[in-house]
Amino acid sequence: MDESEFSRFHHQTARPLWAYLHRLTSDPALADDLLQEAYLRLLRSRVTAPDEIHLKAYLYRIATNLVHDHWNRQKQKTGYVAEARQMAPETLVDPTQDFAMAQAFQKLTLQERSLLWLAYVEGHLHREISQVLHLKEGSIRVLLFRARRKLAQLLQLEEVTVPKEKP
Amino acid sequence: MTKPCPKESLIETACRSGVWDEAACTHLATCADCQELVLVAKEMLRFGTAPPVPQPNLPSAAFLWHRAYTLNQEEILHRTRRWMRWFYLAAGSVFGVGFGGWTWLHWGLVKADFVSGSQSVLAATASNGGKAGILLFWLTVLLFGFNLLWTWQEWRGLKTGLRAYPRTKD
Ligand SMILES: [Zn+2]
Repeated sequence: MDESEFSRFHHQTARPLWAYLHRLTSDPALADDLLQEAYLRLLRSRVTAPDEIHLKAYLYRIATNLVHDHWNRQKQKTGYVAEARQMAPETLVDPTQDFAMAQAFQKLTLQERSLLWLAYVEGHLHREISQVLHLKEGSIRVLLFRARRKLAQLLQLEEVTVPKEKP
Repeated sequence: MTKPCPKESLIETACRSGVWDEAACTHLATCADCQELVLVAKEMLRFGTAPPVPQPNLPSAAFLWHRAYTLNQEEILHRTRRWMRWFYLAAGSVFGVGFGGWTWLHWGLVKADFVSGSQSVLAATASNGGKAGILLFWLTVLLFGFNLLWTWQEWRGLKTGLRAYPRTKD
């Protein structure tokens, strides 16, 4: 990858990656630092990916590992995992956004947050999620199901409108 | 239900593509688990694509590129320095053994001066014309001293921690 290729890749991935890190950590400053570290590690690894999709999966894998390492270090320091840290409401979401969703998301484990984000925000396939999270492809379906159920219960989602559009 | 619906992939694909065929619509109308999937997916997408209140402090691609280059160079330098340290240590040991060996071989001459006067072994070797011995001694001191200085510098570097580097905005 040369500098111009990296520049294009960075342009496409930086904001979504920051959003992912921000939602995983609930800490904008930490998300800034981890994002920078993730790109530096990607560049320094000199990984050769067949395409940008694989490169993006690799970047998310590095970023997810960095979050896990961060929490592990926190755990060693403080003796507990502050995964579901409570942030001031104004740092969590836009006032126009659903505050309940942000709060419910905070109550999920890191793995659950990653699973839901990668599946429904990034639109990754189960195979891609398994690569990012170092999990077996076969286990993603069940883990995702449990994470969905937990979030739905936290949000107390009940209604659904069946889509009427047909191809 | 405690297990995912077997037709879940059908609904996931429809969610991802936005194309709902008859099979997907019919199944969704009757499956509570898949209805939950659709709701969660919709909520997540809304949540994930909403602009965050704190603006990200994104480093520019150029900054990252050059920072990675600098870090790689630093790593190469660090590796080289580590090898050089081992080399100095090994060379210092060889010279030290050489100096000891020389003194031992010429102990007769050295002892005469050493025992009779207040001269040190070093001075004794010098007075006995042991230029090679002196050279070996000083090389040993120099190499070990250099190594010690290096170790101290690195220890100090570790103590001060990683240097913070400035971020640039896009
Ligand atoms: Zn179903």
